Amino acid sequence: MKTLEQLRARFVEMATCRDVGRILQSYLDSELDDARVAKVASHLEHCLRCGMKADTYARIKEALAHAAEHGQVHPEDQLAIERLRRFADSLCAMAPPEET
Amino acid sequence: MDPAGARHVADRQKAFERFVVPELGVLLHVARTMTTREHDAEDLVQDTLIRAYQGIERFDGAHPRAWLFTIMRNAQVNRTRRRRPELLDDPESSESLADAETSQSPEQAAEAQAFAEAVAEALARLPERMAQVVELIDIDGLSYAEAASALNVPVGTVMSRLHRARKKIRDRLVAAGLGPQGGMQ
Repeated sequence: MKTLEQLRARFVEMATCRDVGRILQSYLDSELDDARVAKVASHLEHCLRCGMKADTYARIKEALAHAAEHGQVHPEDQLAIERLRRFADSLCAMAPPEET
Repeated sequence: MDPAGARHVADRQKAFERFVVPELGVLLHVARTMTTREHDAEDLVQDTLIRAYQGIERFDGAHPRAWLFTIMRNAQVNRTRRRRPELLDDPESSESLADAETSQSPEQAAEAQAFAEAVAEALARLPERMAQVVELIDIDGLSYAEAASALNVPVGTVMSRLHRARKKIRDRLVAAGLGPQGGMQ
C-alpha cells in the first residue's frame, strides 16, 4: 500500500509532466523565457517518458527542416522564387512608382 | 533625373533588397495559405511586391515580415478567396532524406529514411489549417508571432493548431513503430 508521501510525490511528478506537456512545444520552438526553459530542461533530464517524447518531437522538427533545406517539401519552390526574384529586380529597374 | 532623385531611387532599391527580397520564399508559402492555385499564390506575391515597393519609404525597418504579411492581406482583399489545395505528397521528397547522412550505418540510414517518410506522410494527411502552421514554423522558421501575423489569427490559435498537428504526426509515428509510446499531450 502506498504511503501518503509516495502518493504526494507521484502527484507532484504527474503535475510536473502535465505542466511540461503544456509548454513542451514552445520549449522546442525556443518561445519560452529562460526560467521556463530551465524548468523544462530539468524535467526532461529526469523524466524518461517526457524526455523520449521531446526527442521524438525534436526529430520531427529536424526532419521537416532537413526536407525544407533540401527543397524536398516543395521542390517547385526554387523555380517560383527565381521567377519572383526576377520580378523584384524588374520593379527596382523601373522608374520610381507613384505613391499610393 | 537629378542627383537627389537618383539617391532617392537608390535608397528605395537598397531598402527593398534588404527587407523584401530575402523574404520571397516565406511570402510564397504564406500566399499559398491564402490562395488555391500556385499561379494565384505567385500573383499574390507579385501584388505584394509592388505594394511593398511603393510603400517602402514609409517602412521603419522594424518587423519586416509582419509589415509584408499585412501588405499581403490587404492585397488579397480584392482577390477571390479560395481554399488551398492539398499539400503535395511527393514520394521522392522523403526518399532522399537520409542520403546525405553519410556517417550513418545502413541500419541507421534506413531508420532515418523510414522516419522521414512517415513524417512527410503525416504532414500530407494533416488538415489544411494544421499543415499551414507546421509549414510556416518548422519549414519557414517563423516565430509564433510571425505565423499569427501571417495567418491573421491570435498566437494562441497558432500554438493550438501547431500542438495538435505535431501530436497527430507523432501519433502516426508511434502507430508506425517509429516513436515511443506515452500518454502525455
